[in-house]
Formats: sequence, C-alpha cells, structure tokens
Amino acid sequence: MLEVKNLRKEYGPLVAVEGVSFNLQPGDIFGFIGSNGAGKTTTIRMLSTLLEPTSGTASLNNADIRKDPMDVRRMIGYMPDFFGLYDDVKVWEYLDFFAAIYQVPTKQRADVIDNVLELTDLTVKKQSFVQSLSRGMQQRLCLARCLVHDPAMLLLDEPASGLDPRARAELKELIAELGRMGKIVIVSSHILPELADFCNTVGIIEKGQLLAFGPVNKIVEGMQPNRVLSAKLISNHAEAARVLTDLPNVLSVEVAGDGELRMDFNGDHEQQSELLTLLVNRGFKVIGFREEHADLEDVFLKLTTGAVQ
Amino acid sequence: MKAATWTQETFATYFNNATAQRDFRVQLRGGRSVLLFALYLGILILVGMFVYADTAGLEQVSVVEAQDRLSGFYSVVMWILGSTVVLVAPALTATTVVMERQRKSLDLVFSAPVLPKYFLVGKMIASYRYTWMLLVLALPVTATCVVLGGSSWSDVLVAYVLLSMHALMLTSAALLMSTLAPKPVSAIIWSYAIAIVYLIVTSITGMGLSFMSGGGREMPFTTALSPFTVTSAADTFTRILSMEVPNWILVTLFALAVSKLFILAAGAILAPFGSSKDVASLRVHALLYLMAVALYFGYAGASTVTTTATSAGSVDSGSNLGRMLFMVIGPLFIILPLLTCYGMDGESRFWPNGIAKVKKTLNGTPAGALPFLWLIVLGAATALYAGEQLGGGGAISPAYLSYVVFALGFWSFFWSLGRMTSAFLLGLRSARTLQFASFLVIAILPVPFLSSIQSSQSNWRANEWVWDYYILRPLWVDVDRSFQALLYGAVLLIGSWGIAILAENVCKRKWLP
Repeated sequence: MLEVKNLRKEYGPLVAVEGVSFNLQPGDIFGFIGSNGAGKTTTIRMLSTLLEPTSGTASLNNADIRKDPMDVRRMIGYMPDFFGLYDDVKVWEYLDFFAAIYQVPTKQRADVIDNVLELTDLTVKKQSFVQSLSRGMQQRLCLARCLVHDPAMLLLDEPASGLDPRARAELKELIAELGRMGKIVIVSSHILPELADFCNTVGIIEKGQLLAFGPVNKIVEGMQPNRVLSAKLISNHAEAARVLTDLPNVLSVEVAGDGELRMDFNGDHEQQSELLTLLVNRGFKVIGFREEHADLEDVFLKLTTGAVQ
Repeated sequence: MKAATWTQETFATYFNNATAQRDFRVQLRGGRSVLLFALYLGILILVGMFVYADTAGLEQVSVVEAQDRLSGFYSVVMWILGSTVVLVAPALTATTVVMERQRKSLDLVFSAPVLPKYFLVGKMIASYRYTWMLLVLALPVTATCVVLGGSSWSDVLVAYVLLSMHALMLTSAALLMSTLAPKPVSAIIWSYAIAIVYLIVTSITGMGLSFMSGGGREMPFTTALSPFTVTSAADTFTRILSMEVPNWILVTLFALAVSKLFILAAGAILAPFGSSKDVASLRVHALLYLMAVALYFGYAGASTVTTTATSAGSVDSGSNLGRMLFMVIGPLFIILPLLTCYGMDGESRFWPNGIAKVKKTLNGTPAGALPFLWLIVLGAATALYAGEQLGGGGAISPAYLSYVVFALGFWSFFWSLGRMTSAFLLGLRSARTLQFASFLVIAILPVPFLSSIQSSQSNWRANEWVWDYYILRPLWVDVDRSFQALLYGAVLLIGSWGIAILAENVCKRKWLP
C-alpha cells in the first residue's frame, strides 16, 4: 500500500509540489494528470527517492521514502520520461546489469531476464544491441528493466510519449496486465483519453496542488452533478429555448452556434422522456436528442481553469 | 548482523560490482581495444629491440658501463610505463560519469538500491583494471630488464606498486572531474590539467627533496609521488620515530587516502537523496586528513619553527607556527567557492538557509559553511600545535593564537564575499566564479602590483608601508607581526560579519517570497 502524506517540495521561493496526499492499494492503476510543470514529475521523483521532499513523506508497504530510501528502492520500478539506455550493450546485458544492481541472485537472473522479455514481448531481441531497437521496443525494454526485481510499485513518467498508435496500444495492454498482477502503477501523462482507458484512479494536479483524486467516474460525476442534454431542431431554436427554460427540471438552456440546444437537467430518465415528448407535441421539429457525457478532459479543463491562483 | 551486511556489501562493491563488469565488457568489445593493445605492445617491443641491439655488444665494454646501459634500459621502460599511466588513466576515466549524466542513465541507477560509492567504485575498478592490463602487458619487456641485469625483481615489484598507486590517484581524480564537469570535453580537459599539475608539482618537489637529501636512501615519501621517479624512489625510506619505513608503503597509504577523499567528494555530488550523510562523511574525512597533514607538518617542522633572529629583532616560534598554519590550510581557496556559495545551476540547487548554524556544520547547506570553515581552521591549528609538541616544541605562544584569529578572520572574510556574490547572482556557477575571482584579486594580484609600486622608487625600503594594505601582510617574516595578525584578524572578522548581514538582507529581498 502506498500512503502519500502532505508531500511538499520547494525550490527557494518556488513551491513545486504543495501538500499532496493520497493512498493507493495493490492493483491500483493511478493516472497522474497535469499540464507541463504542474508537479507530476517532481512528485514521481520524490516517490522514487531521487528527490528529497522539503516536508511531508510517503511510505510504501511501511517503508518511508525519507527514512528507508533503500528499502523503498527495492520495491519500486521507475521509468522516467527519457530512456537513458546504454547504447553499447545487448538487451540481455542491459537487463542483467539492472538485475545485478537490484541484487537479484546470480542463479535466478537468466530466468528473470527471460520472463520479463517474454512479458514485454522482446524475447526475439534478447541478443540484439539496444541501439538497434525501435522506439517502441526501447520503451518496452525500459519497462522490462523496471520489472527485473518484481517491484510492488511502478512509477511511469509519460510512458507513452513519442510512441506510435500501435506501440501505445501495446503499452496500455501491458500496464493493464501489470495492474492485474497486483502491482501499484502510477502513470503520469497529459494525454487524458489514454489514461481514462486503463486507470481505475486518477489525480489531477495543477501548480503543485492535487485538485482531485479518486476513481474516474466519481471525479467526473463530482464535477458534473447535473446531466447535460442536447436537442437538435430544424428551426425555432429561440422559441424552443424559451419553452424549455420554463420547465421545472431544466436549470439552464443555451443555444449553440450550430443551433443545438444544450440544457442542464436535473430530472430522471422518465422526466427526460417527457421533455422530448413535450418538444415534439409543441410542434418543434426534433432531429436529434441525446445526453452528453463528460470525460476526463472536460473535468481537467474545468478544474484547472483558474482553479489555483 | 551488521558485520555480515557490511561484509556482503563490501564484497559486492569491490569484487562483484555490476557497474565494473558492464563497463569492462564494453571497454573490451569490438576491435578498438585489440588495436590499442597491439599498438602499445608494438611500441614496447620496438623499445626492447632497440635496447637489445644496444646491449648486444656488452662484452666489449666495461662492467660499469654495461651496468649503466642496462639500468638506463630499465629506466626507459619505466618511463614509458609512467607515461602510459599518466596518459591512459585520465582518458579512460574522465568521461565515465559525465557520459552517464548526459545519457540520463544516472536516475535509473540511483532509483535502484545503489549507493554512490558502489557506482563510483565500479567505474573506478573498470578504468583501473584496464590501466593495470597495460602494465601487466609490459611485464615481458620489464622481465627482460631483470634477465639482462638492469634491475631486480624486487625493484620491478615496488615500481609496479608505485605505478599502480599513481594510476589509482589519477583515476580517482579523473572520476571526480567526471562527476563535476557538465560535458565530457571539459571533464577530459580538467582531468589532464590535474594530471599535469600533479606531475609538475611532484616532479619538482621530488627532484628538489632528492637533491637536498644528497641522493641518499632516506628521503621524504613525497619524492616517490611522481610516476617518473619510480626507479629512483623504489628503495628509499622515511624515518618515522626512528623506524625506517619504505616510501612505497607511505605512497600506498597516501594514494589510498587521496583516492578515498576523491571518491567521497564524487559521492557527495552524486548522492541523489539523503546526501547529507555523504557530505558529512566527506567533510569528516577531509578534516581528519587535513589534521593528519597538519600534525605531520608540525612534527617535521618542529626544528624550524623555533625562534628566529631577523635584522629587526627576533620572531617568536609561535609566529612561525602561525605562518605554517596558513600554508597548511592555504589550498582551501580552491574548495571555498564549493563550500560557501548558493544559487541554482542546472540540477544543482543550494538554497540559502541562514547565515551560520552549528547543527548544519557537516551537512553541506550554505548555513553550515562558516561553522565548517571554522572547524577546519581550528582543527588544523590544534593538530599543527600537537605535531609541534610531539616534535619537541615549547609551550603555546600568544603569538600563535593571534595567527589563529587571523586565519579565522581571513577565511571568514572570503566566506562573506561568497555569500555576497550568491545573494546578488542567481546562478551558482557565477557566484562561485566571482568568489574565486575575488580571492585572486584580493590575495594574489596585489603582490605584483604592490611590488611594482615599491620598486618604482629609488629608496624602495622606504616604500615598504604599501604592503600594510595587503591582506596577508602579517605573514611577512621580517619582524614579529603577531599583534598585526591579531588586529587584521579582528578587523576581518568584524568586516565579514557586516558583509554577511548585508548579504542576508539582499538575499531576503531577492530570493525569499
């Protein structure tokens, strides 16, 4: 279990991370969302014990990042937003080096290397030089490196950046598989649809402050307590808007540029159906009627627009 | 349990180091190293053939001349090996860490349970092992010298030990430069600069001390510190407490201590998290080594720091010891900017955390700079005095205490200038450079300037007062200047405190919210 308590990092007058707190359980895949410079990488570097927090702390399975950094390092696999690969070594040598520094017993190393290569689908490249791998393969090799010591937690900083769609899909599947294996996975990214696909928990950070944390659907619901309905008419938009505004469950109505009516609605499905019937009965020519679902991107934009002064 | 863990970690660091294994594998990969080895062996064989041709007609010359020629052959081979060490050790090591930083692989290594020591020792072993391979490859040629009678096996063995120790020192110095430098080119340049300075200093002092000791076997161990004097220094010794200690043993101890200090310094720079432990270890070691040097100087110089007569009266032995204190801690000016300045530069960020806090003495933050400086001055002063007492010196003199105050004032003053430059400039490098420049301007540059003013007058002795404006004036040995030392020390202390407070105010306005 990961417990992050009031993690704070200051660089002189600049507060890079301000009191970030959250908890994660084994199997959680946590999407860490934020714009560039929001504090994602700083937080991840603190969790990976590469950066000392100014105050606050975090503990992974009761090992404190400040007091027992070596114990924490044994339990984490850190993949930064750059590869940092050694060009002049073969794939198996690269993994063997990291297995050695993670103190994997010599006798087990060959099997461990074979296993992680299989998991990351790189077995055929075992004897290849690292520089001969494609970008996607290098990314998978980095992930394989993080797995040689079977860590309890993976810290992946922008793992999908620069990858082609196919490599991204493969990486997503791999991360989901790691979550199913019971590992805590923290993935930072600013490509939100990607995170929403496979993360069961997300956190939104802006200017060093964690603005939201929790399961994706709860955060979205929390940000949008009322449903948004949209109706497309052929004509008489203004008249329809006036009619809708008078209805008890309609909180507000706006006419979009393309003539679509968007309304905040706090009724249930029965009342939604009655609303459509009313429009049709009043003679409005309805050609489309649907409920709009907010996504992570909407929530992120809503939260981060002027949220932190 | 702790002993078992320590043994396991030490074994892993020195005998089963993954960094060393990987680097060595890469070094020997491909045809490059084979070509280099072949070239190196070719040169050695050529030299061997030339000398063999020279010695082929030895039956026609006298025994003395034949012996000279054979010894000359041995010296040439050792000179080549010395050059190899000087050229190869920095070249192999200088890029090792800086390349990792450029490749951004350091984060990957230090997010694993790896201490900087493990990583650095691994880097050092890989480079050092390669240099050793070159020395071992030369063994057949060296053996020819023994077979022909140019030297003995014991000479060769001692010479190899000395060469390996020089290689170790140059490797560790290059490793430190590699850790400090932002680019591989600057790491190489600085590593060779250090090697050249080391060679010049050790060769000059070696030759000088060898000449002063009349060419006998008893010589200070510093004569054996040059890679080009291994043949002549191999059988020399230093007398310590009436025991003849072979100089190669002292050189070995010296090399190990210096290498450890360099590795600790590199470790303190690299340590990504909880670095205060590494910095504390470095500072404690540096202090202890400095105290050992001061003890040695106090002991060795006990006979020379007695009261000396001058044209203007006599100079107290305490004053002489005080001047020696300045000599011992003089090299501090090189590391002073690293100790005192703060600011940001790339990944290095040292933020102001107060003027002076005793609790921070060993942890490397700006607030610990002054207490550590004082600790160095007082530690060296105590050890120097203890050394003098061991060598048979007299009771403590008030003059010595005056010089201790002067030393405190002198270094505090430059510390305060470091704080001032840091307060005005945001960049750490700029602050450090400016502080170093201020030292040169205040302590070094006035010497030629004031000399020219003084000598411009026909009666140059009458113009000697110009030196009273020089910060190091109390170090002059013409008369007893202990009171002047006390006065200068007090003024510098007060001045440094004023500058530090001013710098703190500037800092608060500029840096803090």
